[in-house]
Amino acid sequence: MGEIIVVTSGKGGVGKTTTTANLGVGLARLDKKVIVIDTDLGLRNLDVVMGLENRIVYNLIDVIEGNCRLKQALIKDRRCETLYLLPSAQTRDKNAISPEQMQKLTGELKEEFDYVLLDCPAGIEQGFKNAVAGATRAIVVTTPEVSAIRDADRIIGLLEAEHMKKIDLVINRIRMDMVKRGDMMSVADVTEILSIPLIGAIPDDEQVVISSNQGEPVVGPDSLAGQAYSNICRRITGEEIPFLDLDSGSGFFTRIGKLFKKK
Amino acid sequence: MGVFEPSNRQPSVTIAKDRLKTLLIQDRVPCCAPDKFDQLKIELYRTISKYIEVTQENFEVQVTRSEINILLTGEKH
Repeated sequence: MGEIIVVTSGKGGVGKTTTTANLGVGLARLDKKVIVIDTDLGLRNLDVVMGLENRIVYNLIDVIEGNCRLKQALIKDRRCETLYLLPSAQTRDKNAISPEQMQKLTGELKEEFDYVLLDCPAGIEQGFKNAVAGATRAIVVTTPEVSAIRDADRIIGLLEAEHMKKIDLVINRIRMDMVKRGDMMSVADVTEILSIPLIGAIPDDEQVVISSNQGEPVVGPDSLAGQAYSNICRRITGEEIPFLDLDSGSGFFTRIGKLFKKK
Repeated sequence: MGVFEPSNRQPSVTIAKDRLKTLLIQDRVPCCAPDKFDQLKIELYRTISKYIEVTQENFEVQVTRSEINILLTGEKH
């Protein structure tokens, strides 16, 4: 029996989709069978971030409306044997599905997969309710900005009202130079304000943008952000991993690592 | 402010944290969901303006925990 995890944030543009894609790849590399579902109806993105946009035939709505069998709509990842994507529909709106239908679908999927990851749309309306309906665990993504933290706090309140069993925090796009200068809230500041357990902190790393340009995952040992994502994956599986020192971003080892990566 | 601080500028983190604190307290007051809080502000404004001369510029409502502080900043200092 697998675990159903929703990746959510309230505010748009904080890195939900990137996080979902990279957690999917990272968990698959830990030999887990993973499915990632894009629940953002009308604005699908997860396929693009994963570089699978050209393979889409059927989508989430087709499955729910019975236009195809579940298996037909699942797209196998290009690199990971055990990772699948269920894409969203580009043409329909949020009201095309109901929370009950999502609950049923994710219930079926968890029989077959170790992890069902749901990429939640921004906002707190129908799309959010659909994405959250089947999940037993939530990962709230935020950035160290007032607007993003405020929205995260509201989302946490809503998740608690829905009796979400486990809620963890990912803080994205941290710039240690700004934190040191006193111009950005630190990981500790944000965690204290939101008062839910921290599961990962991702530095603002240009490699994230480069990877998403290429439709490749960033998770892995080659960049600081990639390492941070790998660590989150291992924490999701229950391992206890110490938090990275994000300050080493411009440090010796990272630079050496970058030298070796250049082809 | 430390001696070695190059300017007298307040670190923006302090401002961010203060603003967040106020926002989160407002958001978290159970009877004052964001839209309700806006309604409360409008009604308070209307009621107060019956008795005291206020304008939108000098009227500010802040909810702090369960206390309501009504700040009137109309006086000239």
